[in-house]
Amino acid sequence: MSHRSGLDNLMKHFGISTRTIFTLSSLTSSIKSSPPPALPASDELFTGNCSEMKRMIALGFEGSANKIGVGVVTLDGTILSNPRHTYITPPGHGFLPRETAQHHLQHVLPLIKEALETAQITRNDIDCLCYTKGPGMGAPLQVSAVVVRVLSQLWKIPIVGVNHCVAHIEMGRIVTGADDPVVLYVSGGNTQVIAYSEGRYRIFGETIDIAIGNCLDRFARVLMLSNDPSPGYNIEQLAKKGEKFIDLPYVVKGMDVSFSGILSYIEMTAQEKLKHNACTPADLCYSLQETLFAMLVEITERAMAHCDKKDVLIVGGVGCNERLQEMMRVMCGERGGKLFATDDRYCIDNGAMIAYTGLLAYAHGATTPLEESTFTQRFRTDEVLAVWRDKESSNTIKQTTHEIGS
Amino acid sequence: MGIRVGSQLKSICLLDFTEMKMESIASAMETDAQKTILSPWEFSCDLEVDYKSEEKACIIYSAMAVDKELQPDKVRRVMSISDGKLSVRFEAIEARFLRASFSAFVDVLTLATKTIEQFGEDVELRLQNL
Repeated sequence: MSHRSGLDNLMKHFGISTRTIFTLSSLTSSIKSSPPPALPASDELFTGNCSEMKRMIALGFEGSANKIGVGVVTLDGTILSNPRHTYITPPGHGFLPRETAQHHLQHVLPLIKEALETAQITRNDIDCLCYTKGPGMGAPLQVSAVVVRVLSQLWKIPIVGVNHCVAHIEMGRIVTGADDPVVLYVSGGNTQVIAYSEGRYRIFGETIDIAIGNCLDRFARVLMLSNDPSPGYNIEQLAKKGEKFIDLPYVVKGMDVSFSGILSYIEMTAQEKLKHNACTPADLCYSLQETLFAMLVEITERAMAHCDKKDVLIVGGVGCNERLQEMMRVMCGERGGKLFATDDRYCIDNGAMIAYTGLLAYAHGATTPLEESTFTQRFRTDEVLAVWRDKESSNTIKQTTHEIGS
Repeated sequence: MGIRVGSQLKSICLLDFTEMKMESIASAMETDAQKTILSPWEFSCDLEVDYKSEEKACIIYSAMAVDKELQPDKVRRVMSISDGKLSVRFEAIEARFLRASFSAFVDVLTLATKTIEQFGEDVELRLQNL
């Protein structure tokens, strides 16, 4: 993803990103702070005014990859509806931006109707419209953005732009009840180890090339596995039948991981090995999963030791892989912590996670003016000021940094 | 609701919004490609959609104006509204840029229009009350 210098790496290990140094005091451009429109003060919101919390409702749109979803949630995290539709390509093919956007164009409006009907609400009940601002594929992102801009004007409801990665984290926290975990965010487009500190979700480790889900999906194409319901799911099922472990490269670089070399290696050797009956497709799936997940467990454990946090939360599409959860659970158990994970309803991209995260920001006075309701393919997790977590203190990183510094 | 696509010199065709197909776009492009103008913005295309409502046209305009052209050195887009009509002019240095930009725009414009049609009952009501 990015090519950082050694200094950047060092700073990242101390929970400081180069970008945040310069913008720590200012809000990100995506979220403009304004007084909360006729809402109770944020104190009230979180000290048990349950009826107020329940009354606040957000409609959220997610369409950054091959899923288009519309969700309705309340501020206490109740999901009133969360329909989604997935663009599934034939075996051996991935999804391309243009075709994916066409899919979203066809499905977004029926999904809005379905979401409103299932939730049994009308537009008058909605407090804010949330959409994925990024990161993701440009053309698919534009679909949600445009619909939200039109609805916002039609219904006179404010817009809130949401960071997709942060939405995964907040959804995971509310669903599992994890308070302040180290977050492993693994999906088709992202692989990051994240922890909250000083107002932001800081990235402690990440992939330096392709995402883990991308690696798995592309290997599924080599084996011509079905993309229904998802290539990763089919790899997981096949891997259960694997018996023989094939040695694959293991690429951890400090706090970061790299998957593209492993993919090239297994792509090259797979055909050869299968031809000579040296192994089965199941063995390859098993070996690939074991290798990749071990790398993730290693960097996650290092991040835990570094920030002195006990629990791990796994989010993102790959997060519903039960083998990954099992391996992570063992590691957490050994460290006296707990693993928090969710199933495919919440792990995989959905509208509710966008709605919930947007509503958190909205309840703290953040809205996105229409003219600024853009979308962006690159939008790092640590660019967002997590205003709703302001009150919760997390000083561990600061202390660690000082100890090392002194 | 009517939509018109036209080149600088040739005739303007009136199409039903939902039935607009790539052929019409392609024909508009070809006529432009045949022209020899020395300006780098050699290829152009005009699009006009009559929403018969200033308010609707304005909503669409505001929604579409947020996204700037991704390659302003290759394609430029100018939009305006008048009499409930949205007018868009595309200019590009090569036909392929014009084609890509135009077709992407029309896809999203169609979505924005459908959104108003399906969720904009209030706009109709407000107009009736005026």
